[in-house]
Amino acid sequence: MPVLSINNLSKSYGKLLALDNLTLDINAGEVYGILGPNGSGKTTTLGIILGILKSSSGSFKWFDGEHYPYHRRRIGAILETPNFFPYLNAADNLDIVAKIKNVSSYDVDGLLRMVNLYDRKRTNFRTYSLGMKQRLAIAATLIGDPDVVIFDEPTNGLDPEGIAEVRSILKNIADSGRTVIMASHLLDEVEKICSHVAILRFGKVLSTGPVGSILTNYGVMDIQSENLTRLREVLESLPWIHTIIEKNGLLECEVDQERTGAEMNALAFSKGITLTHLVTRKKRLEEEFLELTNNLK
Amino acid sequence: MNRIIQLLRVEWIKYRQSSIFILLGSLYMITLPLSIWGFYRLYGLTQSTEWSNEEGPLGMLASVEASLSFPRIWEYVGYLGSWSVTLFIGFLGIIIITSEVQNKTLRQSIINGLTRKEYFTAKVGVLLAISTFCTVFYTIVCLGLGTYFAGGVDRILEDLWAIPRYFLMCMGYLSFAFALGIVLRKSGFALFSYLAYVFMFAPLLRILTYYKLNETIQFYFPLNVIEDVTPLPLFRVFQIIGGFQKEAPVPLKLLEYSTSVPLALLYTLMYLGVAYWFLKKRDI
Repeated sequence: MPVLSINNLSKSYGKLLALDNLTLDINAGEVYGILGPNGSGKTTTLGIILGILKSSSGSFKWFDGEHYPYHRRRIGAILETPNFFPYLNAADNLDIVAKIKNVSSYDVDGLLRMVNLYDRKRTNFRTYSLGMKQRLAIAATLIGDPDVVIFDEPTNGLDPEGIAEVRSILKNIADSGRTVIMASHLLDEVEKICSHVAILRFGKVLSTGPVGSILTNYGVMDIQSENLTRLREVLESLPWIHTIIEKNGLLECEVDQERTGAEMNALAFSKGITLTHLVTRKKRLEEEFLELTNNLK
Repeated sequence: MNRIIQLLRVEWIKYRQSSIFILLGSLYMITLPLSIWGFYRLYGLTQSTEWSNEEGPLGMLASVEASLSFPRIWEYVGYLGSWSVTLFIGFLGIIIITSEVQNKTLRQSIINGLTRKEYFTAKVGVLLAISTFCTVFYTIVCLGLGTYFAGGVDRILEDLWAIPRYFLMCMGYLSFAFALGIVLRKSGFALFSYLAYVFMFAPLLRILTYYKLNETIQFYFPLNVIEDVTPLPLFRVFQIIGGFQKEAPVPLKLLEYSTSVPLALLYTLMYLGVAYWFLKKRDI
């Protein structure tokens, strides 16, 4: 039975159609990524299913309608930014969340330790860094042991250290067996954490399913040498290179993910080719989108 | 009922440390006695006259001591208090909602599991609590000063209806401010609109209506009705002796309590109804 069923959900802001007949089912235990560029309708979708935005048409149902209208007490969610009372400390802010959720007892110290904020328990929220605010928000989502947790762009605006910290916490939550819904525009983030994914663009679902079946497992290498024709001939003979596209004097190759730059460099050298440029990278979200869009056409 | 108590506890956690809440509450508690002191000084009539204990207009005007004795003190302090309520407590009515819009804690409360109806109920609870606090303070001030000036409590039980009327006046201003806060959402804009309406547009509207439309309709405008729940007793005197009438841009007339009280109650419910409708229907 799905934890969340969304049927033909649409939302317009005047003439702008932010969501266009979105239909999704999310089952218990799935770690579900909603992937899409900015403006694709991710936050609007979450806003509607969390009760703060009104849909223009369509419907959605949590827990098969079982706990309505108090279903949100069984969900922990952060939407866009961490929202707390700036003049209250972490303990008071968490206490408010617990009382709203009708949770009589919870381990406030344990939660704050989990997100490395125990030492700042009595410090006002307004003095926190963005990373600390985000971590407090994650702690708040876990009050009352919710069935579902929802994160909207959880690493947005964080420094690399903050991103690593938040991702590690999210990974632990995802591994705990809870249903997790995470909106992100970062392909890498979704790939690392989620089991399932829905890809959105212009308010429409382009594709849904297990991450492995939707997102390609290929890496990308941008390669250049003085003799591109010869380089291309060599690359075309390799079974682990799937596509080669010439772009701005570079050959952009889709390669099996486990292949390394060192391997490519050694191979080219053995064929008498000196590489003047070699970059290995993950496929960019836009490329993935373009591919998906082309496939859907 | 347990849930309502739980929601009120949440509100208590929110506001017990709010500096703006403490500041505005303190200003109310300071300005109410201060305005009485100003009233006392303004009159400068500290000596009783032979008319001071008369029930008629002359008695009311004759002595500040008579005005600050039971039972007249209920009306005088009620009127002076209505200014403090309009300014400081009205601001609170706006801020309890606009600050939550600004900090996005309103949307987070809904995300965390409150229904919009629960959120509204909690806020109405806050409005009732603030009104109760203001009324209790008003009652304490009246009891203290009344006992002092009257030199006793012989007539303390007269005109006790002034206390629920004061409560209604507080709720009237608070619910008007609260509805404005919900509709306009931005603190600065809502505060400016509130002040502009109370001190500029409402009187202007009364004058315009009087000259262009109808002579009596202006007495039934929302804020005029709420003002007439705790009016300046001297207006009744002016109404009787009529001297000041010619100077005023519109006739000075006070609604009877039998009219102003039910109408104020109706307007208060209307403001709350508007606030609930906007909260229920709009994106947060």
